[in-house]
Amino acid sequence: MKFLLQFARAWDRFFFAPTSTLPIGVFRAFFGALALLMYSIRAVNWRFYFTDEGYLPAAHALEVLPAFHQPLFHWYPHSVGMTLAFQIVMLISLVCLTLGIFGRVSALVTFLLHCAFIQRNYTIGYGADFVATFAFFSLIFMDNSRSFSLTSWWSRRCGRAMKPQGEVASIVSTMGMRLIQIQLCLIYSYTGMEKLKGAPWWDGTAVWSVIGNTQLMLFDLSWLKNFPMAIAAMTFATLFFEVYFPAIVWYRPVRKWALLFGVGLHLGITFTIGLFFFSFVMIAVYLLFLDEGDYIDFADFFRGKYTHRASAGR
Amino acid sequence: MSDRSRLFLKVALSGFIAYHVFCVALLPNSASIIGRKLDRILTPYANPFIFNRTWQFFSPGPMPSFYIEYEVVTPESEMDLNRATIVYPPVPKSFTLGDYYLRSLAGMRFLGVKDENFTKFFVPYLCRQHAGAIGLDIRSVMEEVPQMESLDVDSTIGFKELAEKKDLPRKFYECPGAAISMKGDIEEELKTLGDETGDGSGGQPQKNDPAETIPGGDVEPTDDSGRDGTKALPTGAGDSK
Repeated sequence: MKFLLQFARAWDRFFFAPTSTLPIGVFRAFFGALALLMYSIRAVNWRFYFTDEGYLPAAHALEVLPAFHQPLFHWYPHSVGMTLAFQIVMLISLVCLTLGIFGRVSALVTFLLHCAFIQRNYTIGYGADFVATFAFFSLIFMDNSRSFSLTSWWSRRCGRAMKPQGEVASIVSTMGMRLIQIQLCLIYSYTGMEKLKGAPWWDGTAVWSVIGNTQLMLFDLSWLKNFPMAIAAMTFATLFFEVYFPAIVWYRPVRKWALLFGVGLHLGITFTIGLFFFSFVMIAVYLLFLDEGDYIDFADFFRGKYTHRASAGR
Repeated sequence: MSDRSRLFLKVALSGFIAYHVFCVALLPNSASIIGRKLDRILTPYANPFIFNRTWQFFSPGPMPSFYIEYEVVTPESEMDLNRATIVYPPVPKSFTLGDYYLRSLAGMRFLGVKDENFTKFFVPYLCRQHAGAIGLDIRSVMEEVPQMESLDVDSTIGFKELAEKKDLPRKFYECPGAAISMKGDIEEELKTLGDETGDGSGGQPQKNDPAETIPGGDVEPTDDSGRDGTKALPTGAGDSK
């Protein structure tokens, strides 16, 4: 009984305790801007991706999915006009989300349209789209426009205080933040465990195969053949990071180091393989693992006022 | 908010959290016995919102380069053995922020996993890009990098030259609605070419021949290979970006 009570208290604290809205605001702005850029670029080829001019006719859009993945219901656009309308509304809602205008509503609209486009043509989706799905979903719950938004800036400018955060909003907001944090841990742990099945990740040569993929690599790194230990170190470090990320990211003393390593890993992926959007969507979620104090330190550092704060109470 | 309302809200949200987290934690391993037993209560929620993803970035092994090469067969070029070869997806000449290439690659791989989808959706699209085409002669090409230890340390040869190109046997696809007067001749021609290559296949894909499967790409069809008859892929084929 005592254990159950302790568990319930820990659950309550983890999922529902009030959290700062600053990390949420920064995450919303960064991820929103990234998604706006990504889906604006995708919109250039919208006819190829989402109309019958491409390879997947609307009437057969779901046929490409295995039976197990068939959705029970769908709302993807069937006509050219509807597709165009969806595109426009999605981009507008992304602008609103980025600026923090009607944050939750914008997130909901974006999420539903995002799912609609994936339903319309699942084949063109890649990592960035699928991780973004969870980010949009979590933003629906987060009180995301309270900080770092046009709404809050306007309130300050007009000398009006923003309406205090309600208790329900606070509870649901923390839940939304936890859902995407847990999702990131699941993504890393699954992909890490899947790597454990592969011989190249065990013998330390996987990174060699990655950089040897001329289809994705932006430049030739074949000279790394002279540094096999470096290849092995990168391979094992990646594996170690992905498998253990879900554990170490929750342990405060090493959290920042884990995130820093992850940033390095994803920047490496960006500048070698060119998976720009995927990498930055992943990095965007890291922003939710930082505390308000970290952002204040960061801002002070750039203002030249940085003084190291004691970690007590943070 | 009263204590009772707060408790009710938290209990309701806890139920949702438990269900959602259970879905997203279980469905990447949907082939497990738990996934198979519980799919009826998980997929109605997960599938429409795309919460059913597997996560296999560069795993279980990094994928090799993979693309298709095809020749357009027109009534005029039916007997021409020197038809131009077209690569799909076309590789961008320089770095672009846009992800058109990645999406095209993902689409080609996804459809290529299942020959039925490839024939039904991808071939008609490619045919439409070439007016007058009556068919396409398509082959899959895989490029693998040699083992690091096998390379000469002093060599300055780059990956493009090092890559070991594996041409998988090709297959002729008829364009929808095209009247092929000499289809038999084309098949004969392919057979002859296949015999010349010495693979004994007659240029036609064999049973369990990887030529019928364009590897790589999205992971879903692989995962469900036991369920809907999609084909198994070679190592690294489950790789997704």
